[in-house]
Amino acid sequence: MKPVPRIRKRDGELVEFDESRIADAIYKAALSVGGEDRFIAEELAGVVSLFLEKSFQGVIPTIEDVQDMVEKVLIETGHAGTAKSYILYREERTRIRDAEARTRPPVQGRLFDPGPVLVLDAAEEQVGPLSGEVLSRKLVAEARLSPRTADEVARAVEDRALQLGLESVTGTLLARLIDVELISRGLLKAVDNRGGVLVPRQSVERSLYPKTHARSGTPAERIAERVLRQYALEEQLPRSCAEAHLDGRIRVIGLGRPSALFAATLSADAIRTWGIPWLKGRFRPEAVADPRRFTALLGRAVRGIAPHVSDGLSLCRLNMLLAPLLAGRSKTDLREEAWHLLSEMAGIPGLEIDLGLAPPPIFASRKARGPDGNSLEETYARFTGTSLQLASAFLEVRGTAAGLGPRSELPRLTLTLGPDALDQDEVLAVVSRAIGEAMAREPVLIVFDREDLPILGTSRTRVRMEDAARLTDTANLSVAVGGRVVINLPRAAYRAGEGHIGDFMREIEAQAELALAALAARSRVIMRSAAAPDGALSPITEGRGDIPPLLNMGGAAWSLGVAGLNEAIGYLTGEELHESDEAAKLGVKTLGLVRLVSSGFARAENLAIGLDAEDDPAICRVLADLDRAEYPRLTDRIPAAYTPGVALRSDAPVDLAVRLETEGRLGIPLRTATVRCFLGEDGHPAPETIIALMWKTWHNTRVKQMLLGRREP
Amino acid sequence: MIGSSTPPIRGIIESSLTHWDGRIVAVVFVGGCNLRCGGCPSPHLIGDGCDQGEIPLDSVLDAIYRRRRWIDGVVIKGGEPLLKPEVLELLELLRDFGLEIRIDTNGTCPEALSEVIRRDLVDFVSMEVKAPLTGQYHRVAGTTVDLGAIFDSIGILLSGEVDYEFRTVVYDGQLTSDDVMAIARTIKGARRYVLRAVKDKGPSRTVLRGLARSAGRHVAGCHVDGRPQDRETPFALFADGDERMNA
Ligand code: SF4
Repeated sequence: MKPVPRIRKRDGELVEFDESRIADAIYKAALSVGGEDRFIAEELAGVVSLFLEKSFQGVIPTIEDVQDMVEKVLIETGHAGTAKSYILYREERTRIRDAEARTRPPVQGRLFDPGPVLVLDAAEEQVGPLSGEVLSRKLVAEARLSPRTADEVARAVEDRALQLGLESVTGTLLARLIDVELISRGLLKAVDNRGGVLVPRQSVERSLYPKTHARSGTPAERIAERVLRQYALEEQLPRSCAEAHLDGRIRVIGLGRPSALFAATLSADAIRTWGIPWLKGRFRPEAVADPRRFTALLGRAVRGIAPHVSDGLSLCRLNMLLAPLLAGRSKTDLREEAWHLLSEMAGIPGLEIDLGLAPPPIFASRKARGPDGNSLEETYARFTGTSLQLASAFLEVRGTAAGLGPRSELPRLTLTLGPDALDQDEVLAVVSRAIGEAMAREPVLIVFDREDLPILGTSRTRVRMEDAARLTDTANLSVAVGGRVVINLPRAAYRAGEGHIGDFMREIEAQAELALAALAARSRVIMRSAAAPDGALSPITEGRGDIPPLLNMGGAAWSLGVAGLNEAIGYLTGEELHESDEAAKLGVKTLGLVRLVSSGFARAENLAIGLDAEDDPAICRVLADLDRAEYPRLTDRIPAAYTPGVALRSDAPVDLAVRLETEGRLGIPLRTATVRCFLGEDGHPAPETIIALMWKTWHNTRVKQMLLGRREP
Repeated sequence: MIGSSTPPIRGIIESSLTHWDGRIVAVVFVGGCNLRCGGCPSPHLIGDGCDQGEIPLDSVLDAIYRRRRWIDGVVIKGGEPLLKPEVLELLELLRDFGLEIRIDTNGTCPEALSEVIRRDLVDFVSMEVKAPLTGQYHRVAGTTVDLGAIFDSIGILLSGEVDYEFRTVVYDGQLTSDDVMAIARTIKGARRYVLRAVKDKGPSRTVLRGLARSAGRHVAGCHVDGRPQDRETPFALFADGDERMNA
């Protein structure tokens, strides 16, 4: 065991601990009671230093601490006489010191002198004298020091401020003085406990005066995101997960907004029935029966919720839920309503409107909710015509975007096809229109909802609603996806090395475990924020009286993302996913392993975790950048951005049939995966041909989503 | 190797969405052609020498078999696929797969055409009528053409025993609008007539649409081949000033 390296003198100075001086003092005390064995004194001094080391781990003892320990050791080892002499000698020294102190003139600028140092606490917008007492209390609370050590540190900090001749200190400087004092005393744990996030001035200035226009958000949002990201990495995630995020093995999404959900789906019927949660009251029936007024209220609700969602927000089956309000209206009227709704929702980032083509089977035979929010005699099936016409109107209006400003500001439309939808002529008319838009303007996402229970979510994460009991009411067609952590699959391959499939699988397992631990940490933060009485999320996650919560966090889903499967397998086997059946099979096996690890974890933690393809180009680029930095020798082999999710390389020389079959197969273990179909390369297929392709994709594969377009945006 | 007496196969597209409206098809290119059109899109297929690389029939059938759940049919193109009698054996093999068959022909082989129709080896014939059936035809085709054969082929298709379309590629400086009208009169009563322009070498789409409208007086349906938005006019909801605002 190492001896205590330093002790603190009465004046605060730190000096090297010297065991021989202890031996000297004991020997002197022993001489005065007739002892003369110097060897025993040295032995006892050794015991004192051993005990000091044991009792003051990480804390620097003061002279008083050392002297207390000498007394204790002398008494406990049976040297009572020597102990008594030592105590008398010690008291004598204290008396002399006190007398000297009384006669000495006060030192200029000492503690509690008139004219104390002022603390300019900009964060709290306060100014006040530097008070040792206040500082000590703070140190006990924040750094978790013992009151005695806290007093000493506080005193030392005050001394330091005085020695430096400061008349005032900023909150930032004071924090640094405290940290320096704690560090010099070896109290690293206390520094850690104090935590805190420092924002360098340059970063603040970069946020205030960005050099490029690409930076999103206001300066306040950018600075807040920076601070919160750092806080999340240092305080909210386990250290191993934060390291894995920083070195690129995993990517924790949304760290800059730690209390925001990753994605959410809302039911317009929830707003219609229960009102806007934070307004604490239901709407009068006539307010929600009028489509135009309801559109305005819905817009208000969505705008209020959007800041609490970091990736995407969707309004599910909007055409179906609005159909009873609009039954019997002309096509022109429907287009007018669609125009107003899109206009109301313009500029809300990440908003998607989900158009359901054919209601989910569980609703087809259910009584529809009427304009005033009460049940009608008619079922949803009865409103299918209006619902489809409204979907068509949305597509038309968004397509021309006439009078709505830039198309990029408008919510994206996605089409969810239920079973048999592609066998119904009325549905095909809407699908044809969507295809026309996709081929003429911008890609359209088609979702294949193959089961009886509806699938809800955004284009990047979808969850099947399994809780049939909740599905008795369309107001419950909502779901929250709390957070996402992405596994960088190629990294596992680089760590394992070419050809080392066994090692690759072990690396995948390790990365999956890190990602899951990070997801669990994120879930604790989100759930805490959702449950806090005045927490950021509580208005949308807490119910009031008989009004259920807008988003039921008990049923929240969590997302484990995967990216770059193609590059991982390509590096490992020398063949990309499209190049051999073996490569594709290894891809399936890899995803199966991730799924296995995650479902075990999900059960143990009681979290609904699903696997999603990470297809955000920005994230696929960041992961590749981090890998190039980590493996400079592989720079030439790592692409600018990884292939999204589990897809084949976009320019892989395979025809669409092979792409759909292979990606469909790879997507089976996933909850959400999109096959990107860009059909304008060799001519322009007729809408009927594209419908044939969709029909075969539905029947021949398990593809979950198709992004249809003319060419890669 | 099977099918040693089949015609030379020079190329295959395993699955295409653009060769037969409404169907996903494999496209098989047969080598050899009896015409020498100036703007031939596939001059490498005109000769039928084996030196130009032939794809073995079994690998063609294998590629088609592997996509059997995706493709509805096969389009046989050339060159001129009906030139060689061996094409019948290829069509029979494909029929055994249960696939629909479309043949794209230049109309110079009416006997072979009626034979494949008689033996029910084809579901759709697309015949290119290159010019009015006058001396102009020889100039466009780059060689002397038996115009009687072209007339016969048109007659066979107009008889309606098999579904069909006529096609004309409109090149600037080669065909005028009067020429297109003359062709439309020749195929008077046809179910479907498709006009196509080659990018940068033909009239604009607007001109082509005008031509299609005029030709529509003689045939049941005259279409412009191309982008889907030509197939339906997008609905404009508000005054067009709004649309410009977004530009
Ligand atoms: S008929 Fe067709 S393949 Fe033959 S030369 Fe003319 S364009 Fe080329």
